[in-house]
Amino acid sequence: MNKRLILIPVAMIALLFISLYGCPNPEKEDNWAWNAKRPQRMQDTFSHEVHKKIFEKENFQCLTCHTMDLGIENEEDMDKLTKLSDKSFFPGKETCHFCHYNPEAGNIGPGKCSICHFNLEDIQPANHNFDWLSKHAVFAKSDMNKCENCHTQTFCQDCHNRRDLPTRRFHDRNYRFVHGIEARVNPSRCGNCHETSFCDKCHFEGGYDR
Amino acid sequence: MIGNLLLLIFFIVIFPSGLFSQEEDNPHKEMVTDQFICLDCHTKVPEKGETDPKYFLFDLPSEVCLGCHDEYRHGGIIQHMDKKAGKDLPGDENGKIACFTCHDPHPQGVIEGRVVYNAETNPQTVEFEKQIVIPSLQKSLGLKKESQVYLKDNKEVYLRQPVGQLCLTCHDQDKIYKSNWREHILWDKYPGSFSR
Repeated sequence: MNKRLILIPVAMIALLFISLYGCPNPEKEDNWAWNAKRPQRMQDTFSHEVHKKIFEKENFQCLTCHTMDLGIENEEDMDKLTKLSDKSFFPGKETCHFCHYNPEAGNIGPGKCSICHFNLEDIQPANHNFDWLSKHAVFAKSDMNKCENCHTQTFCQDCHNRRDLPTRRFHDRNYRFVHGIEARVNPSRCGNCHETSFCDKCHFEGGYDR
Repeated sequence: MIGNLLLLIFFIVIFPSGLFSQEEDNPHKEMVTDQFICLDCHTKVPEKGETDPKYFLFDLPSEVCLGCHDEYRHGGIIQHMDKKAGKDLPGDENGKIACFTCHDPHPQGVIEGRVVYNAETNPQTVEFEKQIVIPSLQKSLGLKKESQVYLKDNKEVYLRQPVGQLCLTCHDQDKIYKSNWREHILWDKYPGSFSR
């Protein structure tokens, strides 16, 4: 009796889950989250179906993105000729960015970078590389939307509103004792937020104020 | 004396160079009026009503166009090599895609009842190619200074079907739209959850 009581809700939850998300199809190499095969290239994240309506509305042809009417002259390097064929036929980032990331003319489509870029570290802006901790406030205040291209709001809150929690966004509480190891392994990672004078404050000047 | 010298220079230098600098005529255009042009590709002038694309070709169907044309100078061709030709389009000796799968080498009027099409791309496509695709290719390929990526003339390419239909003869539109892997993946249901 007790077993039944447990099995029924479990079965109901399983049915609800399947009805919501469907069954994975091994033929299509589909899978659920924890097993999902992530796309290796940005282009693989593209869905024709999602773009169907806008293509029809804007009268896009196959050849608009899969360009086949380009030629090349004064070039004999076979490598480059092969690349031309490949790069013109399979749309590159310029084609996607024309609608989704167009700072000059404005975006026609959604501008969220994470739509295609699953590893956002690959596209980390250059201004994040050096002393970003002290600079980020100015950029965030001037254009919050730009931050939200890649970060959710919890990303800000983890540092600014949750100082009372025992966990910290970046460094653990005992980080002071192990930071030397990480700093030696990858000093440029420290440089994302701190400038070298930050190290000097303790190591040469006997204290720090930030 | 000087007059004779000038005449001599004219005959030695200018006259012959003028002769040889004439561009070779396009045999595809010429075949409408000159049936012996057929012998550029066929070993026998086709009889009226003959429609087989491999009719007495002097070379293998997969090779015959490459005597004059370079497949590496046509974007997207390498990606179509070794693929099977669609059901309504002719393939080479192995049933694979050749130049004449999409292009008819004969302009309209040579084969009775045969209709051929230009590659009619719409103005949006042309502008997109000029403003986005060509500059990005020119930049990313690291070409020599004198090399130039350009938009090919889309007239007189003698397509077997209009541009919109031609691709869809082999590429099933329904399959293209249904091949959306995103909807099967749970983590995609929560946009932003993978943001840092």
